[in-house]
Amino acid sequence: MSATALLDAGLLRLLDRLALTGRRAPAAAAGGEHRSARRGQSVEFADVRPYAPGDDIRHIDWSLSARSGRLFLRLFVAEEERDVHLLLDTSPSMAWGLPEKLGQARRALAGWGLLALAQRDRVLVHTGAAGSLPLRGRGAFPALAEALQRAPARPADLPARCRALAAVARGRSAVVCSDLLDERWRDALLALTQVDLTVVHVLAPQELAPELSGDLRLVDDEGSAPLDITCDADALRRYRARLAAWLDDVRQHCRERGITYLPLGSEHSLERWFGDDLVRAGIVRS
Amino acid sequence: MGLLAPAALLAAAAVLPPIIALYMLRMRRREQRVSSTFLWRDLAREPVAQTPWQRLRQHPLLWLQLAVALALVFALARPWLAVPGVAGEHLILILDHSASMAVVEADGTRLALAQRQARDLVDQGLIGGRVTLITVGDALRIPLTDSSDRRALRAALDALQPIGGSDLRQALTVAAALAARERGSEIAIISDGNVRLPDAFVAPVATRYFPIGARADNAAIVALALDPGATGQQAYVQLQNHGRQAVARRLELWCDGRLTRAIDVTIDAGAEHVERFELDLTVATIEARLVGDDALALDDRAWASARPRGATLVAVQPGTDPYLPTALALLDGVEVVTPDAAVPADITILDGVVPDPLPAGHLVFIAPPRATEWFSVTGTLEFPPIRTSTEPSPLLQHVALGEVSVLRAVRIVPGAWAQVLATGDGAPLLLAGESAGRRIVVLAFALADSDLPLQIAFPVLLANIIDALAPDAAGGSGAISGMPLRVPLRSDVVALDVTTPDGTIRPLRIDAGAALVGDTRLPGIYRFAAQRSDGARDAWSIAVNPVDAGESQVGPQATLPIGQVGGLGSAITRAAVGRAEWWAPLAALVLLLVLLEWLVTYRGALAGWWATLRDGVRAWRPR
Repeated sequence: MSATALLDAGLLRLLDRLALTGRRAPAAAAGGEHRSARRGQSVEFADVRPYAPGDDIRHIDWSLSARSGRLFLRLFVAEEERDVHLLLDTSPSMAWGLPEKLGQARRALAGWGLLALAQRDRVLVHTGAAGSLPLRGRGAFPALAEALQRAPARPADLPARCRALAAVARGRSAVVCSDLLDERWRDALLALTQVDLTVVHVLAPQELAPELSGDLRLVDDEGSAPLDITCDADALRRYRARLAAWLDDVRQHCRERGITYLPLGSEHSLERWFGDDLVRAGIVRS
Repeated sequence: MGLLAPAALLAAAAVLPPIIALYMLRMRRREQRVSSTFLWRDLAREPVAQTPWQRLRQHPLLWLQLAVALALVFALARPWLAVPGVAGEHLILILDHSASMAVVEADGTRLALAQRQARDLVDQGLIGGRVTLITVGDALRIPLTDSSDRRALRAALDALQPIGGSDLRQALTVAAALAARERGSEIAIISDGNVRLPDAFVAPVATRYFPIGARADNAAIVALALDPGATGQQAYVQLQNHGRQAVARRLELWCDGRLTRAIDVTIDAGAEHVERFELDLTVATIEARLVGDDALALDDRAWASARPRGATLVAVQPGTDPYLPTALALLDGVEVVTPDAAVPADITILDGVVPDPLPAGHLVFIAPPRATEWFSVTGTLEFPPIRTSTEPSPLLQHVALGEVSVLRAVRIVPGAWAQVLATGDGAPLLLAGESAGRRIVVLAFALADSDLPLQIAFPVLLANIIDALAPDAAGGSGAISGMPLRVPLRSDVVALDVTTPDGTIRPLRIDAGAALVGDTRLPGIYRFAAQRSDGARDAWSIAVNPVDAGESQVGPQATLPIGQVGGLGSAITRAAVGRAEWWAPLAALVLLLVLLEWLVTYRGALAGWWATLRDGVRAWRPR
């Protein structure tokens, strides 16, 4: 799968000029472009400690050892690679909207993943398929794109998927791209409390301003019971009020728990989203 | 209360269950796919089940629609309430608009009250809506026959004016004929009850009487005459107080348009009062006025004119019964001549003879020996007992024939022209009438075959006959406003003009020795100018008075003695048998309920529109 099959050339050029900003020091064995709290083999001096058998003698601070008469070892700040977990909600509600929400979510996570790969972060894609091989380096982007493209449709059970993610991404960075149209959305986000979480909330314009009328039986593919409604001006007014209250609720929940909340309309331009919205939000830098 | 179409209630069985079923049936809704029903759950009105039926739930629209259906079904059943009125499908309405209906009651004239009553009967109580309207006043008219046109009925009612007399005989006869012809008919009489009714009349259908008016206080000029005397003239004014209390009024006498006399008179309750005024011979017309207010103003004025100069020529053949010329000689203004006189007689008395040809002019037959073109003679009667008709006639005024004994009379079979005034053994003994412009009186027995000449009735009867047959018989104060005025003329009159009280001069057509003034609605003095064939001119006047003396008795009658088929002796008065349908309020209720249903159905949209409008107004309002 080529990168351009998912991201157009304009967006790819834009992403080449952007980089993710990090907030927490990641923990990883491999080196990366992010500073690590762990002492490692980078060039930035951090501290000294007494030599112990087995230490690399190349890092002995001969000057300090000569003055003190004991062997000391120079320690450096470890520049390690960061783990970025990407979770794509493939529940049936995402395969809806014009443009479809799932396609927009794939492209958004692909862009996000590309930025991470470009920074030599380790990217793990959680699509619901068995296993999630870590990807490294920009050359792994086709594999990332393919993983996102081939993400299988899953039943609507966002909390379970979040709990699964939380089990492997504790203390790591994770991006969840979902419409959150699940009455247990709060449980899902609470499961990721120990994760440096970013929620990309994807909604279709038909959900923000539905144009329905008449006596309808509403059905979805998520297994919910059908609903009979009379969709008149009053019903639409009540829906809009209900939607606004729910969005406020989600935002407040994220704010209170340090979750980065990023709304994204399925019709929204991703170039503008990455180039403007995320830059303003301090998520990426150019 | 009742229902005219109770079968319509069956419609409820057909309409109500489907309405309820519609609320128990689940609505077949259009399926709409959404991403998730998560955000819509608060808006759902009902849970979805797979069965086509659901439990009946309380819903304002259900109750409103049931109420609409019930009201409609009830209206279709045509509920009615009993009201004072009529119950038939065809109402024959006899409305009295005689002069006495001009009486002013507390809430309008009697005529206005009668018109209102007629409209109420038709609008509220009439089922089927067909009306025949018969009006009685100056003439019998039938402006509306078996019609459902309410507008035409109102127009006919509104056109009525209080005028003429209250003779219901012909109206009832016509109404009875119409009612017998059509089932479901009913007769309603709206009048003050001072009417003349036919003898032994039995209405073939239910006849209801709706009395109008309450006032009885009325003083009237019931007679006014100007009679010539030897050296002057005498004006007689007869007043009558029909009220229950004595009244004091001022009586004015106007001679030839000038106020001549005025006196105050007091008339006891129910009493008559006569005043005489001596006038000189130059007075041609007089008018009496009774100044003051009472129930009926029309009868507070009367007119009379002087009798024309010149004698009435009455021809009597020689050898007739000697009582006849003797009695004629006592009458004022009568000159007895022989049939072969140079000047044709105005009246010819044929006592026991029927010449061929018959003489011109008016005729009096006494015991005619053979038939004429006006009657047949079929035999004789022996000792016929005389019975006079109850019908009032000027010929029988002050005449009592009941005590007259008759030895022998001829049996006469009259034509349709004749009014039988006295009978004996089923055959007419005295009849009178008019045919082809000639007035005819027939006495079936010879004077010598009875004791009539010995009775006081004889000269009075003879005077009445001469008055009735004389050319100026309509003079004096005998004509009534609204009634056609027939003016008998001498046979040599070739042209005649009339000047009405308002000064209008109109030529009259002369036909068969008489002229007819059709429009006499304006009371007062009608002046006539005639030209004879020899060039001579005659002038005289006839007074037309506003009301008949009987109309002055204005006290309303509570009942009318009209026999009913069911055995009742009088018309049913205001029985509560009318049926007032009230589907109209039900229809209004249905409209109201439909409006409520609309409001309930679109209450959400209306609230939205109202909010939008309110926000728009707020946004527009300058800060």
